[in-house]
Amino acid sequence: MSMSQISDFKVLSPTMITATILPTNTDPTEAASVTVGDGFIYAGPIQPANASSGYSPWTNLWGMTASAQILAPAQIMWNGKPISGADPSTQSAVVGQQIYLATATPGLPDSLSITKGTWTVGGTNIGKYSIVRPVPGSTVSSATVTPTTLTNNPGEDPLTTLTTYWLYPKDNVSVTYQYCAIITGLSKPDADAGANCSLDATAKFNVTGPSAEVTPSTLGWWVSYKYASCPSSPQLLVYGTVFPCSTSTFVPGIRFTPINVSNDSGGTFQWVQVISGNIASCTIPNGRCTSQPLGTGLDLSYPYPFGNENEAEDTPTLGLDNTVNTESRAFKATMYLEWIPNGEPDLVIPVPIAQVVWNIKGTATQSANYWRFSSAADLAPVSQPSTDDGPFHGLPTWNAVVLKRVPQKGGQ
Amino acid sequence: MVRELALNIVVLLLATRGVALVAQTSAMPQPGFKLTLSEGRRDATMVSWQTKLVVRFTNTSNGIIREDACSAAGGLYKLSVVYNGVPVQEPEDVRKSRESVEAAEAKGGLCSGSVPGRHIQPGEHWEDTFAYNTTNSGTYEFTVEEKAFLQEPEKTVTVKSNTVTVIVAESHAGVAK
Repeated sequence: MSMSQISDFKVLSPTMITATILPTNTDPTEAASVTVGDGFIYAGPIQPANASSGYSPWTNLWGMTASAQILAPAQIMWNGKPISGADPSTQSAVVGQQIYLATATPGLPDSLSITKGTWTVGGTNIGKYSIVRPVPGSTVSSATVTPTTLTNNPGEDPLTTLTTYWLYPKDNVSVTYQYCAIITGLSKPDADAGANCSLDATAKFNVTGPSAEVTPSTLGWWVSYKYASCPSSPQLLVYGTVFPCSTSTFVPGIRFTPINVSNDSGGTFQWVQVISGNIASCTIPNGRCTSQPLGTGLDLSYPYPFGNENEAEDTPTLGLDNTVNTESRAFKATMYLEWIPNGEPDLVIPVPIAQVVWNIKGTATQSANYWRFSSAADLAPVSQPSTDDGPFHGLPTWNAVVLKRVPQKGGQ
Repeated sequence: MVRELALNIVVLLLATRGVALVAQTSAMPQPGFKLTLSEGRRDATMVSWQTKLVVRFTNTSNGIIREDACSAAGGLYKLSVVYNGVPVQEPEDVRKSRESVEAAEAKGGLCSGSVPGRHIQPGEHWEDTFAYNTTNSGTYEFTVEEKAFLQEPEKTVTVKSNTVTVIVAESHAGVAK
């Protein structure tokens, strides 16, 4: 039998000794025990042994034994190369990039049955970001975030690979892997104490990514004019400026502009808007008007269609109905700026960069079939960098898509 | 101030969607746009049982085309699907929704929603992306269409795209809801 290498022998306390034992590749599972013999060890402060404090730091450990964990660490592999070991070099990754790691356990005999693999992953990470995209005419759509799978359940195949995505830049992020196996002859207490599990394999990553802020600029509410040349066109309550019955230039109600963009990684920016409040309400003479929910969820499509690298904009509108006295529209949404790294599309996901929460309400009043703007109750939009708060780590999620609506005749 | 300036230019030479501004030499008016359909590339966020489709809307008129609240983000598109050689009937709720939007568009764009900022010069295009649930294995043929001249019923014509064929090898029936 070849000999294992023992190093870093340390006495930490009267009852704890640690040492690093490196099994040979030809016998990585050799049984081992640590036996302390021949006298005493010193585990106390440096002072004369005959000090009169009543406390003796010297302990007789003669004959004591303890089992040692000697399953060698696996090797963490990335793109076919080992990235863990005694002195692993730090790897470079970008946010949104799929990180697929495999493992190798060289020298393990076939008789050894690995039952469990466990990963720990530093930084903010997820396993999957799944989007059910809108189908024309249907309100079905969703976005869900799945945590990274870090281990296998009992009875399942041992987890030997890792698929994860980091969402935020961070240096010196650790990834460790440990496997556990059935070792014949190992006592249950020792197995429960982890003696059937390997030492950790550790890899290090520097995760980079862009940063940006988003500045919102708003215009306010307006009621469009009625044009004699276009009698069938309705007046609109508009957050912004729109000209019905023509396609002339208009000014959006809110414009989102990225600023202080720091991006050395290429990639592309995109926008996603999620509506959280969206109600049309009205009043009618001597009657009752019911608020009309216009839907919450993803705004129209994924990604948000009315944006590019330089800006996004929105102009909520409400068609005004002459059978009612007043009409209002309340609208609350969060606009997300996301970034997708360069790479094969099926190996990258969008990551959150910044977001703006905006909340508006406008009211128009009708008299003699002519509508005028009457009041607004808008809150100042709040812009902030995306953060790791919450279970979705700053990624937009939704459970439906908001389609465009055609107002019901007669008011509601 | 901005609004006043804008009002002054309200009736400038700008094209309504589906209305050709230039005099046509033929008897039939030209729709002023064309549709090109392609299969979108899969990405890591896509669920296995959907296929991504990309519609390119190209301005073939001589004027600017700008979306309104009804036509925004492909609101007037009709997706036609043939599955294993058999046409798939458009779901009733989808048909009703589309027809209500078409009716609102015919009245000048009376839709509630977001008015987009997209507009394209002659020869330019924009793209809309959507999906279809290809849950069962087989051959899917997709075509997208949109009616032009909705505000002038006597002139209304349907513009159709090319047909895209997608072969789905693996069934995901039971996965999708």
